[in-house]
Amino acid sequence: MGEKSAAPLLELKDLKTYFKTDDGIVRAVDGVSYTVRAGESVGVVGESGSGKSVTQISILGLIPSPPGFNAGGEILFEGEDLLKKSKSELRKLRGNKISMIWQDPMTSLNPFLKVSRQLIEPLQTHQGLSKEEARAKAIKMLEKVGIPAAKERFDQYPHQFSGGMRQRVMIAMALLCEPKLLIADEPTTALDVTIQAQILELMKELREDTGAGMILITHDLGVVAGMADRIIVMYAGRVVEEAASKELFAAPSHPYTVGLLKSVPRLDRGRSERLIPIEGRPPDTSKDIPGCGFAPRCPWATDECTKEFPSRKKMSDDHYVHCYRAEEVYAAKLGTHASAKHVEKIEQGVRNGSTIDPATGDLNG
Amino acid sequence: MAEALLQIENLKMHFPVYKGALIRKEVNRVRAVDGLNFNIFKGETLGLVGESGCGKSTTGRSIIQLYRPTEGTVKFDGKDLTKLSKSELHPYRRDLQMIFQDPYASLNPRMTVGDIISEPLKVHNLATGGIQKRVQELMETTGLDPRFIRRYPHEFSGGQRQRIGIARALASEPKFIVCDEPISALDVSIQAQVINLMEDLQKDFGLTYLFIAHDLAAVRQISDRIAVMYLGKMVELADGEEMYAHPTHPYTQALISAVPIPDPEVEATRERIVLAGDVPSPLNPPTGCVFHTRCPFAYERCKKEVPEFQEAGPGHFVACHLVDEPERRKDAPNAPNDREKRAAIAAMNNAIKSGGLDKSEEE
Repeated sequence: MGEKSAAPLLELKDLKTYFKTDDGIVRAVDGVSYTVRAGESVGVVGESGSGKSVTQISILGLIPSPPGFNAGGEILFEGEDLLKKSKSELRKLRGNKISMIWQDPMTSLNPFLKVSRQLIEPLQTHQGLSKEEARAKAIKMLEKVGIPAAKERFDQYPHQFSGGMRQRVMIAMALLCEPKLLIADEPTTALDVTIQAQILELMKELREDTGAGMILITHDLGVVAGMADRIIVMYAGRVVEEAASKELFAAPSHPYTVGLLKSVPRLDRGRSERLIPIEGRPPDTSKDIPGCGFAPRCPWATDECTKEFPSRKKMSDDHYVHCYRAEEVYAAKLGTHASAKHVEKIEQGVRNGSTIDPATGDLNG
Repeated sequence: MAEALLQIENLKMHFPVYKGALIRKEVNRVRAVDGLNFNIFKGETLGLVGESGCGKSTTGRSIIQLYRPTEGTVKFDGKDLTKLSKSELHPYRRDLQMIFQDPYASLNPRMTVGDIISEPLKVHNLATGGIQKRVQELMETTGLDPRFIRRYPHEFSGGQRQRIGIARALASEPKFIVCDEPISALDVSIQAQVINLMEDLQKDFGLTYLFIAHDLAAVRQISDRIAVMYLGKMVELADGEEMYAHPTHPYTQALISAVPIPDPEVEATRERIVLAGDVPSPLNPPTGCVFHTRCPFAYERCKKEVPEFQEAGPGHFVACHLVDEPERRKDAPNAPNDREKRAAIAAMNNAIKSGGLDKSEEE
């Protein structure tokens, strides 16, 4: 996993997707850049409205227009800009080289069509298989994703499957044409925990088998911790931090990432560790945000932060942050292992105007 | 804390299923809650977890008599609520309140925040004369700006709406609040705000909570004791720490192992117990132990005999035949690899990752 090939599988360059609404222009995705290498699993985390899903829908070319429109940037998939492709060219890619798993398997499968038809169709259109060949291949895929009695269930309708089984059908459908890139948008959010465990395990196995690159979008830090090689953190339409999973959890360098880690309850921690909530709420992206979108909620914010969005800073290999005070946040060691007390002390200190000594990680003065 | 505020005995809530247009006949029943026995202590938070359809919400609603239970008793301050008529129940409603999951659906969009929060005050004839002042006080307590008293719910964010719901529940100065998934509709960064607020309110007003959620991590964060439900039955009940350290029912064990932990280092070494199959239908629950169709340790007795909800350790209740016959756990043909073997594998993996096998001895 995570092999570095010369050209990345997918490269987003300063992608901007805006929506025209009555209240003005909503900058849902506002200059997002990141890459996915072949065979790599990238997790994208953020809250609702952070633009994490709109980014993916832009990649697939499925943004409804109007009201949505592209306001700049590039989406390079295997070196070619998807934004320059025609609708029919994109149709040839979707479900073929790029495929997706949606959150809700009930609304993303067609309830009027038998599962068999929904699985055979992509094989016929993309790979030109005959009906019999497609049928055989699709049944094999259903078996692979662990659907018992796949042959008998093949001609059933989606409502005859349980939630977990439907999600397995979705995964089978996504993998049929051996995609290079798999986009999974909250694939387990609608499922119960024990079923979630089944599906995540399955996705891991299948990805190792097929070597597909994956973008996993979720709000659940636990899910990305187990599934992603690298994590992108988004806030208010922009990427604020990206790093290898371990690095991100151990040494977060953006105050929002720290906030996320500290506000999520952990099953392996007791009641004694109080959660540290992020005060306030996410900004309205229909208003112009001149500086960093997180500044109004950020204990570290200075005057500088509300003027201009900070440029990309390199912390270490593969670790990039958009924050004026990233070095200080990094030095203060506020990762998942830090105690709530330590984090509260640091945040209180910087709120009162103190700075952090980058060498020791302690509060100055 | 040993004093029980609520005593629940053999609580059953069945929903009949009818067939036929002219002659309606009961053909079956959904056994949503099927015989629960437990106490809720004064001042505690009892967390109730389980997957969708296990009956956790129905339990909460039948305790405060939003549903009238099919069978069983719910004693509150020594009085059996299930025997009371609607009008006799009225004074008790003041003490028993509820916070709902969906902050969008549970607030009337045509009422102002002030109207919403003052409704319980009017219904119970409280704060006569100073209703507005009391509402503003409640808004302040729950972290809402009292100047927004004349605004409508749609003008608030999800987290703020949940605060309105909490203020409404607090208005009648209740003793007990059923919190039905109060944070699951909220964004991650807002969830912690609401959890902390609920903890503070409990301390300030001496509240007792039944905290219903499917998120085990959140439940552990807020609860003193945790109860696990599966298909209408309570399978395990214990102190929070104890439940996490020594889960005893195979379902609890699977549930705990299935919850992802936001730490890649922990995730890399964790062993998951992946349960096979789906939850059976409560219309037609399995015989004997309801979990036996998915249990890795199930044997003959589990299919026939319903396990008793018994005390396996001090304050630790479990409904499982393995409590009587612990040796079955080892002999089970479908059992996951035994613990020692798994620990050894984990230790080896760790050693390989850290670059040497010789460090693996501490396991």
